[in-house]
Amino acid sequence: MTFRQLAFRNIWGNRHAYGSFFLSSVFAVAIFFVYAAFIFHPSLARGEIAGGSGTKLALIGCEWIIIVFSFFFILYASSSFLKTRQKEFGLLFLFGFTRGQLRKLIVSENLLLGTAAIVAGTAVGLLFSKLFFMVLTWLMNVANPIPFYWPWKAIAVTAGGYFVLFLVIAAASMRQAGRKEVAELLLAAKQPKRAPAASPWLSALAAACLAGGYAMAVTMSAGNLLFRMLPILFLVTTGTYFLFTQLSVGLLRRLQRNRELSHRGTNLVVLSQLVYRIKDNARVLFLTSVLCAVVVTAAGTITVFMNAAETSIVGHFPQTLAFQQQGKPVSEAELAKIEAAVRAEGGAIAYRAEVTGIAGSLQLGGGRKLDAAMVVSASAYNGLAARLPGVESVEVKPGHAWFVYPYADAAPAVVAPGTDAVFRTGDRELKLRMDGQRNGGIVQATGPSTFVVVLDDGQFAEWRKGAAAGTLVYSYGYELRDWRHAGAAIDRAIKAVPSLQISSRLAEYESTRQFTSLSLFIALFVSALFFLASGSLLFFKLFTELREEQSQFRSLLRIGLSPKELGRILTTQIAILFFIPCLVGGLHASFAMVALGRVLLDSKAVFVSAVEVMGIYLALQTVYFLVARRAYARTVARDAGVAM
Amino acid sequence: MTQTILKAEGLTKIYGSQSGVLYKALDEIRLHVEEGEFLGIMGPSGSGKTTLLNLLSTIDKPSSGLLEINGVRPQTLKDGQLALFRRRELGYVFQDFNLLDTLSIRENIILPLAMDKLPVDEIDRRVQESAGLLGIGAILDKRTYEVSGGQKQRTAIARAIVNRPSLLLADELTGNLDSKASRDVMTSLVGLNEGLRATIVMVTHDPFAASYCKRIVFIRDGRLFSEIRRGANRQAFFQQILDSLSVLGGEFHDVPSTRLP
Repeated sequence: MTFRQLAFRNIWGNRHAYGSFFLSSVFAVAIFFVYAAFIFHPSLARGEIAGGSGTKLALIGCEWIIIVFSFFFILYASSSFLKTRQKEFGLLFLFGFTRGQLRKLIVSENLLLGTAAIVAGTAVGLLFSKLFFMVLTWLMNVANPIPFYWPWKAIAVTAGGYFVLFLVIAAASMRQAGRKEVAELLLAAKQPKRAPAASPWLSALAAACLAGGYAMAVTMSAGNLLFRMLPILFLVTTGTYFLFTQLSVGLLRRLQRNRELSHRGTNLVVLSQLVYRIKDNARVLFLTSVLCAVVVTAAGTITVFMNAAETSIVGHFPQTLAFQQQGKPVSEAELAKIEAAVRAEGGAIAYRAEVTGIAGSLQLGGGRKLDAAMVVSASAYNGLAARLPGVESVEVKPGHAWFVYPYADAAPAVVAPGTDAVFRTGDRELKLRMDGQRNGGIVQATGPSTFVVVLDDGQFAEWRKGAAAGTLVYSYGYELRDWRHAGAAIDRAIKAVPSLQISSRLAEYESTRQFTSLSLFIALFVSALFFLASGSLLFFKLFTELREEQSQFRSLLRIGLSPKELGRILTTQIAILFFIPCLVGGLHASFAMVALGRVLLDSKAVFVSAVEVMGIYLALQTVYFLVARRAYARTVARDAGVAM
Repeated sequence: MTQTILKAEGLTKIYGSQSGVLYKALDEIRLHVEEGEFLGIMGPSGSGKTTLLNLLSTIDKPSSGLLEINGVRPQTLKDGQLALFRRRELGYVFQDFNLLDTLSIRENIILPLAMDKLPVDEIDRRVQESAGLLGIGAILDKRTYEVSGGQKQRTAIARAIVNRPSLLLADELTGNLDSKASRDVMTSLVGLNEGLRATIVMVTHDPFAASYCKRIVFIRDGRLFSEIRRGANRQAFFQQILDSLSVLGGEFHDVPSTRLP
């Protein structure tokens, strides 16, 4: 047997433990490769892709995150795996291996695994790169699809980068191997672990850090956001670390002391195993919790901003289609043409908005003058206000008026109630007592319809009589049902009457949507990587403790525990390992969302999106848990000779 | 009138290898153990004594033959019932102690009781009782790595008897112990047998440990070979065992020829 064969067989023999770790590495390499394939795309270099350079920059940032994360993930997995193989190394020394040879063996193993991961990852990436380009084409709304090409540069960068990474890790693990005496190595597996102890001070510190961080988060406001962000991060991270290394042990010990609880069925075994498991895996659990919190918070935040952007677009376009004509109204024939065009493409009109205004300028106190203004009648305003969510109706007496600011979000206070203002059209003047200000327009704000002044019906009719024809503004709007999917109807309606400039809400909506969904898509892969990697670390740790677990299960079986009870012990343990990080991460994330809700003042939207993201995360983790439990129970059961 | 605790008739175990070669590990074993007996099973390596013990402890099923423990035929039970049967009727002591490192000495003893969901007071009472019988009352709150091998084995025995089983099975329980610890453990076992009339079946190939039994059956190549009963004197019985073993032949490398108690 040659050296390489020995290395290969070692990996193959440990394939259960290596499997998930290997797959995560493959996934990391594949994502790195696909991103690189886009970054080095020739069409991008020639500037043929609109919006490509921004996307490229975002992807380069992601590449750095991926490579740094891969480094720590692989380093940790490899070093914890070597620890479990000490007995094997002791045996090799006993057979006359020199330290140099052992190091060579470890390096060969690492490089073999690394090379396999690079080859498999690049292959998977190559396979999916066309799909990735297609999704990007669609998201970026590029006219010509981004073509597939042979990304030699990307292959070289990925292979080179990860090879260096595996080499560095191999060198690091080499240093770890073979420092102990042979006898120590041989006995390493047999030495029982010491009972984990918790320091009451550090446990209290953990509780205090978490409580402090949470308290600061729930009382956060837009004003102190910047000052609080870093302290909160620091407190919560520290708190989480000590939660797993100290507080959890303390709490479990307390549960064990409650004999009514701990001396009941399988609790005795589960509780005592958990103390060891959580302490042993404290660092993995800590990392996984923080990653979970980051993923859920990031995804939640993006969703919140996406929703906020959507609401603000709807606010800027009270109706899906909007157009305006000065001097004379749009003829019924033309309106009918537009309506017919909408219906021809299967669109349905919810209502038609029609407002006639008189253009002019509004002179406010303190020398402020708004030129793009028009006056409308109260009945016209109230009629539309009733149809628009969030727009309140007004009551106006003759000589009084309400001022309407067109955008509901980020509206400044322009007019104070009780102040005087003068509205001028040509050389006519109208003195008005302002009753207040409403935010949110009734028709699209463009030209004279930007600022609207609402008058009493009678006063408006009187004024209209004397108004020059050129100052009359006829604003129209069509609200479509299910406007997000009425693209064809909107396109056709816009072209129906060439003399009218028809603008649509959908165009604006889609350009915003493109940006957010693109960032969501890119972030998705990075979060998926985090998620998979953290899960595989847990999976991997489970399998490194497999042998210990098997002998323990054999003992329990002989004492007279039924396979079902053994299965329950196993399920509880794995479930806690898999879901505790989710729970803690979710708790962190929900406090972050509460804080975000306070800053954005839209706690309902924040809550909904956080629950959505958390739900997806939990569902994925449940799948991972079921797979892990199945694989693990099968291996343990096969050895114990029972079905679980 | 004593009751028969263990009844085995024509117990046979055949292992088949993948190439189709059949190997008869046990051949028509007949064994009766009365209440309060202390039986030793001896035989050379590969004679089938571990197979026999596995059958008796119901963790393996015989190919043919009948086995009855305290009036129950374990072959007829389902997995869940079998586990319950093992927990309530059988006590098992292993060569490598089989204590859980994650539990304290007390918790290890409690384990079978906790599984049966007994009230906490009852659990405490029984643990104290068992620990008292085996002289480990002082180390109950220690961890397994803090106590000696003899103490570990006595903990294992305490765990085996805490459920008051009708039959106590022991597999090479002195195999990992030095002579002092062996003597302590065997004395405790005799104490249980005489004091509580516990029924014990012990597999061993250590003649010293075997000399504490009241009766010994020798098996060889899967068949019963001979049987001896102990008189009043243990030293004489020890010599008798050595004589029987020399007749039995086979591999007994680990028999200490010079060690006399």
